[in-house]
Amino acid sequence: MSNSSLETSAQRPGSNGDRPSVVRWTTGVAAAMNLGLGLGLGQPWLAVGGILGLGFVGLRGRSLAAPHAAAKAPAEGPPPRRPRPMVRPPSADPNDLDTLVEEMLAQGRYALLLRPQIAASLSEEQFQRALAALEEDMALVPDGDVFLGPIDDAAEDGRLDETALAEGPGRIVQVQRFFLDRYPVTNAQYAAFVAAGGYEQPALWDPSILPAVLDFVDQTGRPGPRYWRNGTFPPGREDHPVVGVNWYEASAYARWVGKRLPTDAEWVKAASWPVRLSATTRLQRRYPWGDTMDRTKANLWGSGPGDTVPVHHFAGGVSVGGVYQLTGNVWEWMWGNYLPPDGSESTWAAEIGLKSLRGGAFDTYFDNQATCQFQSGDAAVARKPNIGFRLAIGACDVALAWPGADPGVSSAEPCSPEVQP
Amino acid sequence: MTREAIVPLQSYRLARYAAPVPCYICEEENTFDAEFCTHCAAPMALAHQLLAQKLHPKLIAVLGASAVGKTVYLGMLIDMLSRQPTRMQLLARGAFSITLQQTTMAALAHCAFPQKTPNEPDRWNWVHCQVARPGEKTAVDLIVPDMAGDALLQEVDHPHTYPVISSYLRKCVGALVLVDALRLKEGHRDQDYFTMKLMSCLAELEEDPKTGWARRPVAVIFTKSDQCEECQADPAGYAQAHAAGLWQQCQKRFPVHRFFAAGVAGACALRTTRQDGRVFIPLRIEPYGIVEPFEWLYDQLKALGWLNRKRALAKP
Repeated sequence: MSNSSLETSAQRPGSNGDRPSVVRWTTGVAAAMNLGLGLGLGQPWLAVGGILGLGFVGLRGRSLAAPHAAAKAPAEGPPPRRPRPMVRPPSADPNDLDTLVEEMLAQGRYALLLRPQIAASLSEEQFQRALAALEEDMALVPDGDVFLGPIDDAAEDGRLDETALAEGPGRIVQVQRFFLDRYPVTNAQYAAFVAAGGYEQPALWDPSILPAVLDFVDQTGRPGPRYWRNGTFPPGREDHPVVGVNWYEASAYARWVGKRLPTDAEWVKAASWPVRLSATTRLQRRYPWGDTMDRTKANLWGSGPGDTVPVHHFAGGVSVGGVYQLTGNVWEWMWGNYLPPDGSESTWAAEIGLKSLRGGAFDTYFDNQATCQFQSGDAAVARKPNIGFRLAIGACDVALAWPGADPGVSSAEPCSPEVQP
Repeated sequence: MTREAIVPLQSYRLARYAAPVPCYICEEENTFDAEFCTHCAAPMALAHQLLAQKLHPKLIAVLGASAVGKTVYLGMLIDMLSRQPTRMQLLARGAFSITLQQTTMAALAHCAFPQKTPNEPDRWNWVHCQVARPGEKTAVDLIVPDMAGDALLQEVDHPHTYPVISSYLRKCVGALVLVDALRLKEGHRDQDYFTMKLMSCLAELEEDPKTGWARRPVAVIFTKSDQCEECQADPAGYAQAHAAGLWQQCQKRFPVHRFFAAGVAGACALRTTRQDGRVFIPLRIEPYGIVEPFEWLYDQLKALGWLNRKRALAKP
């Protein structure tokens, strides 16, 4: 990030002229490097230093970007599922670990605190609170394999014959156990990221997209999702899924909270909940609730208001594992690329740059395009009114027992490279 | 004994042959067992149905260049109104009226656009349907064919190439004119020129100030606008900026007009195949702005009194 781009950022319409300072950017980059090195080399104190640095940058960003704090959104409609992001005055001392932990818990960044290297520096009480937040917000999906691809022809009484599946264009993918958000990320949750200056922290963004981040603005030219105004979401939509965010914005938010976008295999596994019946047959649901479309269980074309609904609506469509709205309401960004169906003598010109989408949205017309298996795609920079996201984290990436009890055991075995996104 | 029984039956058939059946579109005479009009190739099923039921349906045209999306728009519109009658109710009359809906939906559900409509009129899909707003006691019968864009262009450039087109357009009470927003956005002027030709031809078919196109509603629909946000936001402004000729034609010669934006695919990818070359593939189906133009046209037809007329417009 050059100084010239910093100046451009500071002079962006709708932004304060005195932010972001070079000091903040430098601190952010250094903190990110610390965090990366700490995690990579297994040096917990280096990683903690990185976290503190990022926290400092975040607090500074929030204090400077105070006018577009999301906490000003009116509290109309049903109460939000989770407490709103806590709004505290910036910590006077960025080295105050307790304050920083409280801040991160209030912002829903518990996954970051549960990283094995960081969890070791938490008190048991802090760790238990972070773990409780994880268990409340995310569903554990067990490990196992899942079939990706069309199952229409192979299905017989709900059973899939793997011999027949092997002849088709699909594939079987092994997935390690992981946690998946029970609900799509809401406007209120995303507002905490915007208020904390997430759009001004280069460490959170893919380096290739950094120059374009300046263009990720709302209707009034302020950093944020496309359909927001003045840096905040439309009134009464705090618990609607955040939309108008592209794949890079979703990824940046994921880094900020210490999670990641799910892979296609993870998402399909959580939604279709496959069960192996024998060595060659398996059950894999067509929809999260079963094999038959029931439009009362999902916000699709003709079954909802023609717009997004709060993330806790259509509760009847919950998956076996307790994940809501996997079908309907908004398409969800996946980590991977859109893979066009094989089997035809053709080349797909636009496949590069198309990211995978799954789940269907409030305007999805056909039932077969709202199944667990159906994959769509869109440009990674697309900011559309029917695309949102939810996040995942590998079970092996978080400490599920307080490492303070036995410092030698900080986590389970490391994630297998095959399932890394 | 057997022979005596057959003779009167054959006489009856001969008598039916002797009584001609006029085509509903061109009003030329045909034999009772003709499948298509021998003069214009319109399906005679329409004429038989209307004679039997003593109906006088109104004709609406769906016009536009080749590959602009006429088949997709019409198929999607019929399917949406059939599935969810909260805004308008549409019921198909006759099995032949469901073919367009069936083939279009089958293709879109499998992430493909339907095959190009062939130029031969006897291979076009015609829709005869009943339409009513919620609360309306009597439904209105409408006929809408899915005409090929290339055939329309040929008829405009070389009149009488396709008699069915000019005959049909003379009797139409309103039109849905489709324009490819994406091609306009890319700077191609062919859409503008073609639509100007079409509108000019339409206006000259009926110039009577009381019954001509000056009194008939025209909905101009920018298709594929899901890939053109500017068009979605302000279709009229988009027309003025990108299709100035069309915009002028509408202002001067079609006082009852409105611009709309519509789209069917949420996103598209470009695929190159040996057989078809470069084709757009819809990655998902999310209809947008499909019903609004038809609703507006229906309301205008009603307000202007076209739906109350007992007979279709006379052949000149």
